[in-house]
Amino acid sequence: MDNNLLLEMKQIDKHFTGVHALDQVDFAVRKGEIHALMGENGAGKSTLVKVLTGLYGKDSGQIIFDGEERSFPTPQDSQNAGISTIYQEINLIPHLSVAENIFIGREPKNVFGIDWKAVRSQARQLLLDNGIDIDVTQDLATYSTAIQQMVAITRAISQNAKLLIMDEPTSSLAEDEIQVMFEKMRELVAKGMSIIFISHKLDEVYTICDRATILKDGKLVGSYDIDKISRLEMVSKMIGRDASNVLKRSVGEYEAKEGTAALLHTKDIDNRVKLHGISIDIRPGEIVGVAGLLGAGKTEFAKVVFGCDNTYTGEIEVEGKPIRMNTPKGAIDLGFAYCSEDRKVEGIFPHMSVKENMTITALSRISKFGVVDTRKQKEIVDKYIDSIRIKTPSPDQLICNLSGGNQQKVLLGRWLSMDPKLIILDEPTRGIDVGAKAEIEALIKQFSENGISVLYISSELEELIRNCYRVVVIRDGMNSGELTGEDITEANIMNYIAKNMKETEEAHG
Amino acid sequence: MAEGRQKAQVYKTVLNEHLKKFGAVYAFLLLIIINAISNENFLAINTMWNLLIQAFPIIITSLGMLFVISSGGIDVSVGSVMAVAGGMNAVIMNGIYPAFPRSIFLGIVMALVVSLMFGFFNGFMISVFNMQPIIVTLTTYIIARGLTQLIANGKILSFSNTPFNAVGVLRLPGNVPIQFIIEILFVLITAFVIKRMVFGYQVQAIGENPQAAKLCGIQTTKVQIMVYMISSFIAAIAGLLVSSRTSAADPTNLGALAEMDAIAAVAIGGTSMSGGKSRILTTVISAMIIQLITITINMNNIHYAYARIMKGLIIIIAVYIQQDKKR
Amino acid sequence: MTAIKRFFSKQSALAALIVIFIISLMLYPVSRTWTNMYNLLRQNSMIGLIAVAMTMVILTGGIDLSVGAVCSMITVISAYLSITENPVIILLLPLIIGTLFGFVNGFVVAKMRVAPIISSLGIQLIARGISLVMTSGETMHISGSAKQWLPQIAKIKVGPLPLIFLVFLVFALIFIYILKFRKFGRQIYAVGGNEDAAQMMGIRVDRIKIAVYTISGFASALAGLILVSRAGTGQPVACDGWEMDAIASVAIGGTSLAGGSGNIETTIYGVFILAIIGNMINLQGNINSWWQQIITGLLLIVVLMLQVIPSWRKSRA
Repeated sequence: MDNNLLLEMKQIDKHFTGVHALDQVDFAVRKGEIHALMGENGAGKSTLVKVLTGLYGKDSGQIIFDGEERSFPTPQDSQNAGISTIYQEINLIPHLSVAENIFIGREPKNVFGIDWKAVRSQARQLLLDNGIDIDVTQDLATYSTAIQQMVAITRAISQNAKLLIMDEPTSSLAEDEIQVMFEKMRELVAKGMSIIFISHKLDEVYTICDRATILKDGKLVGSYDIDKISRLEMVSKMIGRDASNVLKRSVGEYEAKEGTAALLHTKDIDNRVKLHGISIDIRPGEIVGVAGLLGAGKTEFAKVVFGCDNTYTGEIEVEGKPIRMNTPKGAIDLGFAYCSEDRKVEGIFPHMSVKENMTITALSRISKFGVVDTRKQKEIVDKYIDSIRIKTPSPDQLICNLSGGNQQKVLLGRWLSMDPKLIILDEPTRGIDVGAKAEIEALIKQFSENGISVLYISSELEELIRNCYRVVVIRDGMNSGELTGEDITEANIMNYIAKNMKETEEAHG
Repeated sequence: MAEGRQKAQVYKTVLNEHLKKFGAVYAFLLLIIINAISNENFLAINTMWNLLIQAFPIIITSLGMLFVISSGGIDVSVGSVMAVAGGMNAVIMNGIYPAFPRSIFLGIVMALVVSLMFGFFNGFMISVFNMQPIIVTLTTYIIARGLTQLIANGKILSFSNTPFNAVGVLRLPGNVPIQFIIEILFVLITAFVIKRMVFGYQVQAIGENPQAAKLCGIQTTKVQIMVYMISSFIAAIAGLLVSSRTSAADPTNLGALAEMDAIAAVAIGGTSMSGGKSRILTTVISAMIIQLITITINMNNIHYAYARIMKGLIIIIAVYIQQDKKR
Repeated sequence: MTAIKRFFSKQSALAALIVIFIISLMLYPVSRTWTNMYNLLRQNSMIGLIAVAMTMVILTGGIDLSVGAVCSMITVISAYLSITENPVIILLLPLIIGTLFGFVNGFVVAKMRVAPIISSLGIQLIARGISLVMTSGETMHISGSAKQWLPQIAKIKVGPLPLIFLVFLVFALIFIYILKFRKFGRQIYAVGGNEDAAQMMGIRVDRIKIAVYTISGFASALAGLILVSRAGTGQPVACDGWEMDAIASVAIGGTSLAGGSGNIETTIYGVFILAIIGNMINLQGNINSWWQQIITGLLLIVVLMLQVIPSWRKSRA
C-alpha cells in the first residue's frame, strides 16, 4: 500500500448500452502531483472522470480516496469529499454575478440568510489572490472567456479541494493566459493539492505534468513518469501504431501560383472589436494558413468572410468583383464553405442522419421547385462516404452515433458536395484523434489538387507547417507577417508573433 | 453471469427502441381491439367515419404543430386562431358589419387573411426578435380569442341555409366524409414537404441546431415565419370546417384547448419537444388515439371526464417511454 | 430627471404599475374608493399566489400548465370533504393533495425527464378530469356546518386588509426572501441559468425542480381554498386559463421565459397591472369587456418589445 496515494481507482468497469466504456481500469494519483490523463477520443477519459465526480455510477470497481473507500452517487458527494472539476466548456451560470458563481451552494451566511456583503468581499479577495481585479457584482456573462475560466478555477480552488480535475482547461485560453494558469497549478501542487490534467496538447502535458496515465478503447495502457516516456512513445501508445509516420513532415509540395489572380481579396478588414485591419489574398487551389494566438482574430476574420458578421469595414473582392458579405447564404451562393471550429454547436445536426447532414447545403442544387431529387442526393452521399472514407454502417445512421473524426468528415463532405471554390477550415482537427487527423490533412491536400482554395485556420503550428504553402500570421486583429515555402517554420511563425509583441510593448512603454 | 446481464440489456434496448418507434401504433390497435370487443357496432364503417370527422381538428392542427415543434418552437395560439377564423367568416357571412358585403367567399378569404396575419406575427416576433415562442404565441392566444369575442360581441354566431353549412356535412360517393379527404390530403402534403422538400429538411435542421442551420445558409427567419404561418393556416381551415359542421361559431368554445390536443398528439407521436426530426405517421395516429379515448369512454358508458384522466396519463407515459435516456 | 429615467429603465414594471394606477385614479372616481381597492386586492390574491409560484417554475426554465385545473380541483375536494365536519380535514387535506399533484408534476419533469409543458399538461387533464368525475360538471355544494364557517374565512379582515390578501402577501414575501437570501433560492436561478453547470457545481438539480413544482402545487391548492371560501361552492369548471394569466403576469413583470433571470416582485407588479386594467374596463362600463384580453395581449407585446429591442439593436449595430 502506497501511503503517498491520494486517489486509487481499482478495476473500474462501466457499460453503456452496447458499449464497454471502461474495462477494469486502474488509475492512481499521488499527493501533490500533476497527473495527465491521456487518450484518444473514446478512450474512456471523460467516462472515468465522470465516474469519479459522481455524474456516472460505476458498474463495478473500487474508489479509494484519501485513505478510505468511497462511493460518489452525486456530484455533491464528490465535491464534499474534496474533488473539484473544471470543464472544457465553462460551466458556470452566465446570468449570476461573478461573486455568486464562486460561492453558489456554499454562500457565507448571517442571521438573515445569505450575507451578500461577505460573498462580494470574499469573492473579490479570492480573485485578487489569483491576480484578477474585476467588478464581482457584474454578471459573469459580461466577461471574456479567459476571465470566466479563471473564475471557474478560483471557484474550484476556494472549495479547499484535495484533488482538482482539469478537463482541457486551456482550449479557450491564449498563450500568456495559459502561462498564468500553469504558474497557478504549480503553486497549488506545492501546497499539496493533486491535479488531474486532461489535454490533447502534448506540449502542455510535457511542460506541466509529473506523470501520465494512458487509456485506449476503455482499457488501461499504463502509467508513466513523464520524463521517462518520449513524445513519440506516448503518441504510439495512444494510437497503438508506429508513431513515426504520424509526425512526418513534408514541406513545399505545392507550386507557387503567384501569377494567377486572387479568388478572394480582402483588404483592411476591421470590425472595431477584434479585427483592426486584416488583408489576406487567396488564389485558386492555394492552401493559405492563418496563424496567431487565441483572440488574435482568426475565427472572427473567417466569420466576416463567410458573412456571419456584417458590421465590418474594408474591401472584399471575389474574382475581381467588389462585394459585401452580409449572410452565410450569400457566401455559400458565391461558392464559399465554412467548417466551424465548434463542431457540436455550429456543425452537426445530431439526430439527423449522415445523409441529411451531408446534403443540407447542397439541397438547393439538387432540387427543383423545392423538391429534393433523392437519387442525386444518394449519389452525393455514396460518393463522399466512399471517397473520404467515412466509417458509418449506413447513410441513414444518425450522425451523433459517429466518432468525432467521422463527424468531421461528414461535415467536410457537406461542404465538398456543394463544389466550393473556397473552403474555410477553422481548427479542422480539434478534438479528433491522431489517426483521423492525418486522414483529414490528406483530404485537405486533395482539395487543393482539385482546385479548391483553402483558408486553413489552426492553432497547431505543426499542422500549418505540414499543409500550407503560405502562412499569414495575425496578431491583435492585424497582419503581422507572411511566410512562404521553406520559410514556414515554427521559429519563424513564433518570431512574427513575438516580434510584434515586443514592438507593441515598446510602443506602450 | 455478466454475459447474461449483457444479453438481457441488449434485449431491453431492442424492446425499448421498438416501443419508442411503434408504441403509438400498438396503443392505437389496442384501443381499436378493446372497442371492437366491447361494442359490436364499433367496427361499422359509420363509426369509423365518425371517428375521422371528430378527430378532424386534432389531426390537421397536429400536422401544423408538427412543423412548429420540429423547428424548435411551440404554438399555443392554435385554438384561438381556429376561433378567429370561424368567427370572422361568420360575421361576414351574417352581414354583421355593413362595411363588408355578405359573402361566403369574402368571409373565408378574410378568415384566412386574419389567421395568416396572426401566424406571421408569431413567426416574425420569434425569429426576428428572438423571443420565446411560448410567450409570443400566448400573446396571440389572448388577442385572437379577445378579437373573436369582440367581433361576435360575446355571442354564438349561428348561421343556416347557406352553402357554407353544407361543406362540413358533405359526404362524397360511398358516404365518405369530406373531412376524411382533407385529412388524407394534409397528411400526404405534410409527408411530402417533410420527407422530400428542401423546406422540410430546413425546418428540422433549425430545430436540431439553429446556429449550424444559419451557417449552412438556411434563412432561418424566413423558414420560421413560414412554419408559424402554416400552423395558423391549418388552424383556420380547422376552425372553418368545425364551424361549418356545427352551423355556428362559438367565440368562447370554438377551438378551446385545441392547441393542447395538437401538442399532445405531436408529443405522443415521438417528436422531441426541443425540436428536430418530425414524425408524421405516429403524430396522426396519436391524434386519433386522443379522439379514440373519448369515443371509447363514451361507448362504454363511462363518465366522460375519465377521458381526460386517461389522456393525461397517456401523454406523460408515452413521452416518457419515447425519450432518449441519457443515464 | 436622470433618476427618473433610471427608475423607469431599472424598475419598468413598477413604473408601469404606478403610471397605470395614477391614470385609473384620475379617470375613474370610483377607483379612488377604498372598497374598490379592497376588492382589487381580494380578487387578485388567488392569481397572485399562483403567479408567484409560477415565477419560480419559470426561473428554473420550466412551465406549469396545471395550476388552474389543480386550483379548481381543490375547490371540489374541499367542498366534498365538508361532509366530515372536520375543519382540519376540510382545509388541510386539499392542501396536501394539491401539493402532492405539484410533487408528481415535478417528479415527472425532473426524474422522468418529460418536457415540463407536456408533464403539466398531463397533470392538468388529470386534475380537471377528477373534478368533473366528482361533480359531473355541476357546482358542488358545501354541506354541514362548513356551509356557515367556510365562506366566512374570505370575509375576515385584518385591520383594513382582507385576510386572503395577507395570505398572498406573506407567501410572496417568504419566497422573495428565499429567492434572494437562501441557498435554495439562488440554486433556482442557477438551474435555470445553466442546468449542466448547476449539476456539475453539485447542485441537486432534480430536487430543485421537484421543489418548485411542489410549491406551485401548494400555491394552487391555497388559491383553491380561497376560491372555495369566496364562492361557497366547489367549482369544477372554474379557473380555466389561469395558467395563461399567471404566465402573462410573469412575462409582463420581465422574467425571462427561458429561465435564469427575473424575480417575484416584478411578477406581482405584473399581476396588478393586469388587474387595474381589467378594473378600468369594468368601471368604464360602456366598452366591451373583451377589450381586456386584447389590451392584455397588446401590453404583453409592448413589454416583450421593450425587453428585446436593446439586445436586438446591439446585435445589429
